[in-house]
Order: sequence, then structure tokens, then C-alpha cells
Amino acid sequence: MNVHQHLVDPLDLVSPDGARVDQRVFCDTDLYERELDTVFRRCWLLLGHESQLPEPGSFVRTSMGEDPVLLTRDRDGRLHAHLNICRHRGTELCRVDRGSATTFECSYHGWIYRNDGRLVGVPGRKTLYYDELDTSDWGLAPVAELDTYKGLIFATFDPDAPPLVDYLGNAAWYLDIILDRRAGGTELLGVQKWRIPTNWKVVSENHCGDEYHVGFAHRSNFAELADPAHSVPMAREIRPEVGHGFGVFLFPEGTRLEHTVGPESPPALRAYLGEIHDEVVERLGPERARMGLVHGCVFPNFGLVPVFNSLRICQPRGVGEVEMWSFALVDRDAPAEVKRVLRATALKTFGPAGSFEQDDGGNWSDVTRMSRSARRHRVPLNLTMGLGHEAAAPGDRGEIGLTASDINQRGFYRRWRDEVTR
Amino acid sequence: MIASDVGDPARYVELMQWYGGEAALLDDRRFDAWLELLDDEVDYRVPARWNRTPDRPDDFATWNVPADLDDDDAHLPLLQLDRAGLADFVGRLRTGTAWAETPPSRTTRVVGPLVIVASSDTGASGDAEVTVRSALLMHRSRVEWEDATLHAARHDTLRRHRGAWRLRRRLVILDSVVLPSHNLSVPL
Repeated sequence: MNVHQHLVDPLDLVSPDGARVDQRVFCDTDLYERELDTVFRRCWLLLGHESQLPEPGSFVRTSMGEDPVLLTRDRDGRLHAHLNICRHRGTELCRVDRGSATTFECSYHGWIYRNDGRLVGVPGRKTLYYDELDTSDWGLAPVAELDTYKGLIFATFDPDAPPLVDYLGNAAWYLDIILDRRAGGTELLGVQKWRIPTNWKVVSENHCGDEYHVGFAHRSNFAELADPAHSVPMAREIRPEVGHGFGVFLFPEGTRLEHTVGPESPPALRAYLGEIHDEVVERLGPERARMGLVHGCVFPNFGLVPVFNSLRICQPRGVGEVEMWSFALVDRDAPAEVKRVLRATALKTFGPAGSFEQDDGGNWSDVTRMSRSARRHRVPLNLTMGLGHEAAAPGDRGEIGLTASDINQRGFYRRWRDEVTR
Repeated sequence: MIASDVGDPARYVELMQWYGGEAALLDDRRFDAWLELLDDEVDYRVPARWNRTPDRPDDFATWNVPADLDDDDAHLPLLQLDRAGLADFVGRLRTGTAWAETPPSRTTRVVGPLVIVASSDTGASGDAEVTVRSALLMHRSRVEWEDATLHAARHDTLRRHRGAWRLRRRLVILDSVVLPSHNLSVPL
């Protein structure tokens, strides 16, 4: 008898074109364990932003997949990420979410680690360990690679992972629209955390490509909507790389930045955008200066809704649960008043009480809850919108859906299929 | 410090009635009537919490007060609304397409013992201001699978003008660092 006969083969769950997805991907426990060992071990994952660690000694308690990670800046200013687990008996080393510390002392037997991960203190090292313990063997377990992209901090557990810039590929060119429009870069405000009983992929597929749901799931935010199926008329879906996806507004050529927000926007914001217009055009070039990032996802779980200044990490917490971590991303050199406007926009719309986000959690939970029933009945889901109508993106930077399309969701599941089977 | 003297017992009873009444209006989803309980200048906040230790082991001076709570421009609260914002927040729930509350939640709010932290009277007009600390438990049930209980402390300032108490400031301090609910779609 083949003991593996009950294991689900991911190749059977997602069609090669990504257009048909079996709902078992949302509820199969074995598959979830496999994701932790493949997707969340091999991919570059977003850990945070350099602005969260402003000086030597700063630290942030974060996670990569389900692995607890301690992100630190050592006394020389270098960033480190280690498993936040004491090497002695495996307790969680640091239980404070952020702060400043030179060393971390374990609460169980008092082992002490420096903020570069080295083990520097073992009580009784001479008397109890007979001076035979080589502390250099017992530092915190580091990630394989850590790198930053324009303020964002990423890491991977895979020593064979491609460099971060290659992993991002063409996605970096689009991320620059928000990360690199000003010389001073960005900073992150936050964080809000809440729990949704859903599988992490339900969230990521929404972030990477779901323009279609806006007019329906978020209908209450629109006073008048003649045609909810085309609620975001200027947007198109862009797939810079298979797995990553963005929705992009394309404003008419020559549009000034202050005219990319509505006339009802606070005057301080419009004045600010008017002031930075020339800088943005010079830094990004005219092609990207007329683009607005609406939403996006960098595979697997880095989500963004830049149209409302929201940046998020969807942390998996079991096959059917996630912790959402939501931040606001603002230009670092914007005046305080403008930052408050951008922060208020993020708060009003996203986060657990946001007028958009409130309505997403229920739909996402439902998809996961229903998948347990669909598991028995093998009913595939439909991701066919725009299939066969993809076009090359300008500048050969990936592919494009000319309107709302499932192009990015198909890319997401194709990438997932590759990652869990390679 | 906790004052052992509640001051005027009649006022204490009046405030107990106000809090019970407020909870009932919210549970009964009479949001327009609830908005009438708010001062025009109301400042309503639900800050995010984080795992921390005090700066000194014996110093809890900043525990459960704003310094502990990311209540500043560098951080994001879960909710921060003025009167217009609160009117929008509850108004959206009646559009019929606010799916978070369509169908609506069933809620029960239990407001714990009131502690009058400070009070001042401003002259013979009967106008007054009080600072009240209380505990809130809110159970929320929706369809048959959404059940969450939120636990929080409330730090409120109420003003009495022309005989009516109105909420001037509310700070809701949740116990949870990670909100144990898929959203926050009703006021606390």
C-alpha cells in the first residue's frame, strides 16, 4: 500500500495556465506544511523597512512564514536577521516587539546573544561546561541572505536563492514608483495586526490582481457606480514577473502629480504633490511619473495598496489562518502635515476598521471555510478572465491585462505550483 | 490614585445610567441616537498595542496610558475618528453593501464598574466635565462562525452641557496585540 496515496499532488490542483484552481489548495494541511518548507523557505520575504531600525541597537521582532525572526541593527549599523530562538533549549529569545538593545538574554537559562547573533554569555561556562563549550558554534541561527531594496528589508532561508534584485525582476521597476520617487525615500508607519481565519493565498491573490472585486465587495465606498464591473476605469493589471502582480493607473500623458488625486483631497496634499512633481518626473522619467500604483503583491505574501498608502505582510498562521500586519508608507521628507494626511487616508480605508478592508475579511474567510466542503467535490475555481488576451507590457517589462483581468492571479498560482513542486 | 469618594452619588448614578444607555444603543444599532451622545469635538481612538516591557522593571507609570500605545503620528491606531468620521463609519453600515455588517453582527457590551478619575464643575450653569475609567467586554456574533470577544479599558472624558452628558474623548485600550477578529466593524 502506498502510504502517500492520500497526499494531494499540487500539479493536479492548478492547471498549467493557472486558470483553474482546486479549492483544496486552501485547506489541505499536508500541502500547507509543504508550503512552509518550499515557498516560505526559498522565497525572499519582506521583513520590514529600514525606518523601523533607525540606529545601531534597534531591533524588531518579526516573522518569515511561521518562523519567528529577530531583525537587528548591530553597533556598526549592519542589519541582521536570525531565528528568534535560543540555541540552548529553544525558547523564544526576545518577546518585545521593538526597541533598542545591545544584547538579548534568554529567560530560561540566561544565555546571552549580542545583536549580531553571536553567543556572548553562558552562565557556568567554566564551571558547568568545563570551559569546553565553543560559543562560536552556538550563535543564533541566521537567515541565509538578507538584503534591502530602497528601504525595504527582505530575507530568505535559501542559500541558493537568486539575488534579491533578480527575484524582484521587473517588479522593482514598478515598486520604484512608490519607493524611489523622492531622494529621501520612504518610511513606514505602523503597525496594525489582526487575525483572519483564511488561507494566506486567498489574501495574496487578491492583492496581486483583483480589480474586479472593487465595485462589488467595496460597493459601499462609492456613492454612485454606474458600472461596478468597471469601477477602476483607468487601471490595468501588470504582471512584471510570474508570481508578482500590480494594478496600475495610467494617467494621460503630461498629467501633473497634483491632478492624480481628486479635487476633494486636502489642499496640503495637492500642494505637496505640485511641489514634488518636477523631482518625481526627473527621478522616475515621464513614463512612470504618470503611473499610479493601485495594488500589488510581491510573491508570496508582501501586499500593497499604494493608492491608499497601505503596505502589508500577510503572515501565515496555520493552513486556515493569517495575521495581517498593515503599515502606512509615506515619503520620508514629506512635511508632517502631509504625512498626517497620508496616514489618515490609510487608516480610513485599510486596516481592520478601514472602510475597504472591513469587507474583505468576511469574503476571504468564506473562501477558506467553503473550501473544506469543495475538497470532497473537486469543484475547480474560475480564474479565466482575460485568458488569451494578455499583451506584452511596455518596454517588455512583463505582461499586461488591458483592463480588469485574472492575469496576475493566474501568474500567482502558476508560480505557487512551480515553487511547491520544484 | 483612585478617589474613594465618588463625589455626588446622584451624579455617579446618572453616569452609570448614561453608560448602560450608550451600550444599549450600540447593541441595538441605534447609531443615530448614539451619535447624539457625542460632543461635536469628540476625539475617539483605539490605539494598537505592542508587546513591551517597562523602561524600568518597577516602572509601570506608562502602562495602559497613551505613552504605551503607539498613539502618535509615527504609528497607526486601529481607529482614530472625529465626529464626522464616526458618522461616516456607522453610516456606511446602513448602505446595504457594507458586507462586514450585512447581515449585521449581534453584540453584547458589558461596561464594568465606573471609576470617576477626575471631575470639575464649571459654575452655576450645571456644566461639568468628568474623566471616567471603565472596562468593556464586547461579544460579537455574526452568521454562525464569527464569534469574538474583545476586552478593553476605556478612558473617557464626558462633558455636561445644558443638562446632557456628551462624550468628548474616548481612548479604548485593547488587551490584545493582535486583534482576535477579522475586522473591527462596530464602535467600541
